[in-house]
Amino acid sequence: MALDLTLSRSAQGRAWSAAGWASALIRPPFLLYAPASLFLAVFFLAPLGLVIWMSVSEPTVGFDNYAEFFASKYDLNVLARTFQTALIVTITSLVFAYPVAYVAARKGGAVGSFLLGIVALSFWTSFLVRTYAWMVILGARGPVVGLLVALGVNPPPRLLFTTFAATFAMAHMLVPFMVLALYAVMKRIDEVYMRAAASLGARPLKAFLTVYLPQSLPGVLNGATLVFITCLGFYVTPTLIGSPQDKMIAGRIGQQIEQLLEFGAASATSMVLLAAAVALFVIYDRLFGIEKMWR
Amino acid sequence: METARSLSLKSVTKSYLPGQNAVEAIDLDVAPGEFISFLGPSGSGKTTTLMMIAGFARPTRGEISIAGRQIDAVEPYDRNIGMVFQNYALFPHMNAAQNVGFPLRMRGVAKVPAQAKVKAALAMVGLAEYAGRAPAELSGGQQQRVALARALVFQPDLVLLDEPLGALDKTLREQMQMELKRIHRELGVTMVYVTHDQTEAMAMSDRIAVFNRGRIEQIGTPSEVYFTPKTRFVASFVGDSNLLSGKTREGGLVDVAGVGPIATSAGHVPPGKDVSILVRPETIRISSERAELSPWRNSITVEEIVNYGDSVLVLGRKAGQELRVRVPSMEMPDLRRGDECGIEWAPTRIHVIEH
Ligand SMILES: Nc1ncnc2c1ncn2[C@@H]1O[C@H](COP(=O)(O)OP(=O)(O)OP(=O)(O)O)[C@@H](O)[C@H]1O
Ligand SMILES: [Mg+2]
Repeated sequence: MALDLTLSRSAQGRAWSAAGWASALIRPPFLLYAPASLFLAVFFLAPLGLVIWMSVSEPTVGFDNYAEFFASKYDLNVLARTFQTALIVTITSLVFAYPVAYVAARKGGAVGSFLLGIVALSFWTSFLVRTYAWMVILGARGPVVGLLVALGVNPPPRLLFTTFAATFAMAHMLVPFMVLALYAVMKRIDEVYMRAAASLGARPLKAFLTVYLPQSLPGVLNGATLVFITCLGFYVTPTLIGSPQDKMIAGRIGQQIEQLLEFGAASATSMVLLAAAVALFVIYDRLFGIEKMWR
Repeated sequence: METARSLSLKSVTKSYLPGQNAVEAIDLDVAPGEFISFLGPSGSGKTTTLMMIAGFARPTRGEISIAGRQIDAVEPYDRNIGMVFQNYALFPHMNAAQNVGFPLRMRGVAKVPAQAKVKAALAMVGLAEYAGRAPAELSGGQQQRVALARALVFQPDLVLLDEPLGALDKTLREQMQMELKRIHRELGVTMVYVTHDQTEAMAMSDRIAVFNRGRIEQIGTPSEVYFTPKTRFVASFVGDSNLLSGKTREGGLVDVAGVGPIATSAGHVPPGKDVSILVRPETIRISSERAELSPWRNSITVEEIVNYGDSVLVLGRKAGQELRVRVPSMEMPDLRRGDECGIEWAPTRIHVIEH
């Protein structure tokens, strides 16, 4: 029955006249999304197609580049490390972002606006600028090292160009995303639930754990997905202040292009990264529904 | 021995903004097992008072005690008060049984007895089969029942309900009113019920506290509040009314401009005082013949007739004074707009409000 319906509907669709199609194409909704579609087609789909093509044609036609990637212990290591770093960054930014979003959402007023203002400010500052800021802060003559020396740590540990520096800086870059994702969900949790919990005998911590936290989980998931996927493709920060030994996948792609001139291999690596991100997205969608992310 | 009190408020005042009192000098004593309603227009301070009792707002001045215990320093979660919110406030991530079980969980009740209590509470509100449903899968009335079961399951000293039926349609609301009364009778728990619906307050309460501008204007049984209101506000807010201004004379007579002397129940009021008299529309009898003028009879000109099915409202006028008369449909004489007709009232039914 349901099948019948879909069949007849698609039959109807096929029966549309050319004139019908033409009129559908110039109807206002199409006109509205046409510029965006055109832009995406020219500047996203076409280059993407080119990259796919290069990954299977450069230097020879075939899947050699992919075979090499999955046979290379080094590349697989980079991939694994990228996932591991993304996970650590996600957890770190969640730990920093949750209290901020919580206070902003529940306190509101001046305190809330102040917190959100700070978050927005760092949101609007470019990744590159913030990366350079971290270079100064963590550098050999920077304030952190200075403080350690003053405290008697001698010789001071190297902070810049370490995995720690890159991870910490990336977490800092992505905290605003996490805060906004959390805030959007937390703002919709009615105060009345916490009151109800208190009236039913729940102490503040218990009320938070049993009533607030579970209701904020969609925000945690949204933020974590956003941060994790963004982090997978991070290039600037790990390249500039991370350890050269602990490359992430985007850095590896850069190396393949700039230093080794292996365009085919770089394309294949890019496709692996893209596939990983898409796979994550699909899992997220299966579990939670993608439209919830922007609701 | 002093009678036990379930709830007692002593000159409780709350001001959110300096110089403006949201609630002012509230005195109230509630007996154990009593069902008391807070009735009043929007912004009159009902919710504020309730929030102070629950512990979510702190009185600026005054004292509150529950079951003889002074509770100003007691946190909301230690007050043992059941609360039902207007929009139910059921936890969306828990099903009906988990919601009802929540207060037991917070009190560390063991699993097996807790389950039995949850089951009994859900059965009491007629939702035994809905234990596994999420709030989103329940109708408004069902959600309200779950909220009620949740507020009762831990045997609170006091149950506060803030317009719990406000979001329900009329039929369901009346059904829930009866159900709530039955539960109140069965459990014998003290209930404080906030509403701005005067018929609801009349139908359910042992006593009604009428709120106006942050003060309680009158506390009394429904019939006291209805038939012997202390202020013009109470008279006009509770029920349909004719409020006439006049001056007292000897022997309980009140002179109303344009209408003449009216016989009332207020023999005790000294003559020469400005008063209002309250004549409930349904206490006036009407006949198609013009009546001879006397302190308990008069004539009016019919201006409008509104038929409600069970009763008819006649809007009449006597020398600039509008009068409302409500007659059971069966007893409605044959009248038309513009007719002159006679009215008659029992002086004992006419209540005098001193200013
Ligand atoms: N948090 C607050 N801050 C400032 N003023 C408040 C606050 N809460 C209530 N008020 C004021 O206190 C007064 C009483 O409000 P309250 O909510 O108690 O009225 P209510 O009788 O419950 O009305 P309703 O029937 O509309 O619910 C109102 O004038 C209101 O504006
Ligand atoms: Mg209110």
